[in-house]
Amino acid sequence: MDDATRLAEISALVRTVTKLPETTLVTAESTFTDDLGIDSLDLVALFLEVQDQYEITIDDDQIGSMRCVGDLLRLVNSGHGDSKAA
Amino acid sequence: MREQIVVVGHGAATALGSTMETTWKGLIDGCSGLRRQDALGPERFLQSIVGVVPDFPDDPTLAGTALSKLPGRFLKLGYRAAREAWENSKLDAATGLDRNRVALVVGSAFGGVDHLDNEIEAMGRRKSLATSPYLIPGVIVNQLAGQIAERLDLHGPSIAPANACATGGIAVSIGAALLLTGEADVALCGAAESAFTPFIVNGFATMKALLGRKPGDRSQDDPAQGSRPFSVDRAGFVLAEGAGMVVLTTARHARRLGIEPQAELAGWASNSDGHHMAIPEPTRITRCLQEALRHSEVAHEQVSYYNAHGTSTVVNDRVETQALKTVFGDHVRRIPVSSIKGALGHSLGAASAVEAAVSVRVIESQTIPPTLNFIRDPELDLDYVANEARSVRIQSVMSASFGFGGTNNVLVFRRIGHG
Repeated sequence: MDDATRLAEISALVRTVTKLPETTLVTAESTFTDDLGIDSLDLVALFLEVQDQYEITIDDDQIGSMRCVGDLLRLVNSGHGDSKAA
Repeated sequence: MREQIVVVGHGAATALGSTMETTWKGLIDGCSGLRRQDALGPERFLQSIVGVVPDFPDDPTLAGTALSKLPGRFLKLGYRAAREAWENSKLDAATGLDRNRVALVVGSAFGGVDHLDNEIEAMGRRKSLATSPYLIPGVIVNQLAGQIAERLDLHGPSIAPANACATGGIAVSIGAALLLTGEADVALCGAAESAFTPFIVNGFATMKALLGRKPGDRSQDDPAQGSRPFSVDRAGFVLAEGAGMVVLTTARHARRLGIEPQAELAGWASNSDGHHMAIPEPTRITRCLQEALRHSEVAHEQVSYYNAHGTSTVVNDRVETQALKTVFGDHVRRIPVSSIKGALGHSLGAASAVEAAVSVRVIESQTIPPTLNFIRDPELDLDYVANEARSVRIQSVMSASFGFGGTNNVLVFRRIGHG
């Protein structure tokens, strides 16, 4: 799967889990807190969904270091299998 | 002399419609909101005839808010009815409203039990023991008050009663008490419920409180006939979802804010059976009715209508009829009694809140909604307003609710300017 496809997939996941309004643009550079207005509970829900979808484990240290959607994309791309939904 | 408490707004979402207007029109037209739902199939549920709120799509204006992330239906229904009651009160336009002194007294019997059910299934699919971070916030009963506070910008005291089927009535009583003690100027009171999960449906069915699947029962051909309060062949209640809300203030504050009262909450009473986990205790119910009359200073002959708990169970409808006879003596035969649960089913904690809102509408319209599906039981000999609405002169309305755990509540509403 290429980066653009996976980014679209993760962006859709971000939108679904956090119920972002349709008008909110999600890009690789979108920061979770400032750009998307995602709070700490939303982030936990998002990472839980990512773990389920991609069958990966995200530990607390990794969660703390992720600032934007691109960070999440890189984590998923770091060799942790394909989405069950793909 | 006690300050006069008045109702200045009301709203409801029921099996007859997602608004007060559609609910009221359906009630007066003699419609039923009860249907057989395919989603409650026999492989998981002991009953599939229920009352679901129709025409209730996701609200696009809530995208991104907590209400869009918390899947519990009681939150969405409760917020819908609260917003309707609040808008109905026109308090947003009132000059001088202190939003820090608007109390929220909003309960539920089971809270986000449907959310819990979803999450149990999700946990079974997950490899870890993690739950959704929305689970705890979404299940707690007081989250409804929290969401209403957030959406409607109201910041007074928050209380979330959980008194089974008396929850809504008790919420109204507590709200009125907060006004009398001066802890709030306005109280938005009510309850919401949606509990179509196997644990809840099958739990009530196993207790034989719920209408079962009985061969030959008239609900088999016509689900709308499943709930038949006070009828000779009543066979248990029909589970429903819903929400009801009323906005209370004192007559003094209503005048100050320039708000027109819709009805007076003349009095109320609550008590405890202290008797059994689920079986009602007639003498305590009788006492609760008597105490509500005393508190409201309403005489027997001033009660124009009794809005019954009337669940359609064999025991409740007999006990409630007997209690009314004890309280009112011979005069009881001159009081119209009806149960709107024949049309709406039983929405548990929300039912008495819906009935409070409907009681206000009864006073405004001088019309009594009927008891649907009624066939006379020779043992129950009151005037149950069978099957058709009735227009009469309404002065005062009693609305009663009795819950598992032995918790009782009676509200008395009175027409403004009763003399």
